Amino acid sequence: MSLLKVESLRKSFASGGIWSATRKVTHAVSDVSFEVARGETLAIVGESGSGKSTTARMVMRLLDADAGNISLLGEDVTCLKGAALRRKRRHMQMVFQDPFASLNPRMKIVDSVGEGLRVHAPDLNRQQRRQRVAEILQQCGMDASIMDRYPHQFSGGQRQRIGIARALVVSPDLLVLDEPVSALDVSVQAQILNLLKALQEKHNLAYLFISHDLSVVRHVADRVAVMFAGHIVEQGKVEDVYAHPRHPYTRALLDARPVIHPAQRRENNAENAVSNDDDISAKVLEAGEPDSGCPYRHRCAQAQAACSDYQIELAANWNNHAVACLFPLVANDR
Amino acid sequence: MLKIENLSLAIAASNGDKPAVSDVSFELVPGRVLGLVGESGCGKTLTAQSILRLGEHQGIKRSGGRILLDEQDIFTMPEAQLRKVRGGRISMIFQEPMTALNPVFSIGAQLVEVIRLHLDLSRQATEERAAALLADVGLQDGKTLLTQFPDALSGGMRQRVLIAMAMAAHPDYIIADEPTTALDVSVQARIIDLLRKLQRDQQLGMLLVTHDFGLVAELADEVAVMYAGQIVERGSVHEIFEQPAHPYTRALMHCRPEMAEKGKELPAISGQVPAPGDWPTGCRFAARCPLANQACTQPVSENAWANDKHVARCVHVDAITGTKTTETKNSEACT
Repeated sequence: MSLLKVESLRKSFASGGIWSATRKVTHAVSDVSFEVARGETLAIVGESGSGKSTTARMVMRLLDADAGNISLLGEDVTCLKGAALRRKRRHMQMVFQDPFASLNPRMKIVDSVGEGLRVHAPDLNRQQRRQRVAEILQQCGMDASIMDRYPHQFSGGQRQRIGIARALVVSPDLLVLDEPVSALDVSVQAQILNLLKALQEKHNLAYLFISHDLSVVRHVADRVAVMFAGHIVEQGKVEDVYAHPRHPYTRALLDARPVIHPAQRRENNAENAVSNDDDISAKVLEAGEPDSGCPYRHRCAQAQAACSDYQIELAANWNNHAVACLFPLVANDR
Repeated sequence: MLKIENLSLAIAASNGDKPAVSDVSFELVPGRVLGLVGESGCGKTLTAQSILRLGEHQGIKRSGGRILLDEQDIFTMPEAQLRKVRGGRISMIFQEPMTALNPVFSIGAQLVEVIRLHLDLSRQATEERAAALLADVGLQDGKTLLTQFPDALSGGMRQRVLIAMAMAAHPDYIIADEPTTALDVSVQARIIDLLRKLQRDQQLGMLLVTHDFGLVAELADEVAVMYAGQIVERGSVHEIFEQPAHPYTRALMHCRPEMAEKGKELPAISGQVPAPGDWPTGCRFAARCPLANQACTQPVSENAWANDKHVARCVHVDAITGTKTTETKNSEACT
């Protein structure tokens, strides 16, 4: 049984006044399904506007889904409310992108980190709570003596450690990490990625790891789901997807990564430089009709007439490597 | 030639000035791209902004050195002349395309403003120039775009508009401060291609400020690595990637996840960059360096390879690279 199971999740947002002629409906997430097992990392990768953060927030029940099911530990949590939802939250916790914004500047570290314990372990007295906070801070590489300080006294990397401690203090099973290292310098990013890995092994944690950074995802994730315009367009083991991308979008994303050595420099691609379809994904999202063909077809070199009638559907093939494309790329040995 | 000579900068604070950049020297040459790399807080953006004297109202001041544009010191330039240099001879591309455009003026108004300030053109010619600039940066249908406001544009399109503005007055030098950091991967690749094309076609001298070695690998000819306000290593892009010498350069390169074997622990650099004012008298990287020993507590001068422009500020470079270097004078400027 998987720890987290998400089925056919949907969410749309409306913008513009209720009676306004310019009212638009944006389908942020359409028919998204995935599972995360204990001790496993599933990464959701995509560009801005792809719906990856919306998906994470729905899993955490910070946003209500329009349709679909979310079950955690075998129990449907899609419609839980109030005390029942709070009890369930002990099992899932979130780490946010911006370590500067996600800690209350007026609360001491001990109170921020220990806040979850007040709800989920109300029998602990003050002293026991401090002890638990000290223990978890140490696991996150922070000295227990910082407990009585305030967030502004820490650097970005230290705050992210505190943010992780805050999530871990209630011993969750699942961590939803929304771009946890994007705001950090590369040397600090490496420290935090190492920490996340060590904590995962120690506590057998499951991670739902949201990121736009393909290199980070390759490093941390077991499986990856690639999102485009609210759909998962490809899903599979990281090694399979990176070595043999089958969706044209995945391939384009992988090809767009900067090189790692100047000798591999992509010499000037003048056509690329002056073709501007940067904003296609944004336009697609606003187009309104989520099911009228493949959302990527406007940007896709392989697109054919049939793509405009294609009901996008993630179809699994060998090795649980699934792709939502009428004309998937043939596996090669890139 | 644009020459930065022994530049030192300080930040004004209530308890006295804090040094932020010390003794930085480099040159920008037409047709060449210099990548200035380092983590946040290393002083790379301060250095770049000081070339156009942009930090002054935030209390950044020069405490030593010169910035010479054709033998004239930018710091002693009259304000009127400086205004001509900014956006004229030297222009700048900022990191955040979302905040660098004024939301209440149309794209056209903002682009025309730059052209008017620097070029003496008729009304008609100004508009034609504006549309042509947009076409140069890959924005088709320039006429319509000129009437639009920034909020109608995606991040990638805004960055293209900002690049068009930077190119408006045929600059000789361009300072690009993290030009792709705020963009999505696929857009990023296109902006890199665009910058490379413009830089080559117009033989621009470019200062590329970034924390991303990938961007450096794509665009730079030379590299200067900054740490805690100093340049710690400098050389051609091939030398820096093939034979990084300073322990900081090596560490920074190897802690990138794309360099690591999957699932293996990343070789992270422990600790963090010391804040301006907390710098030790010896090597500033010593506290985080695996090779640090007694010798590192003394001030470190630059060591250069014979017949080479590859320079590193570390007493251990010979041991690290197995080659022979000679000490250069601490104050010598070179690229």
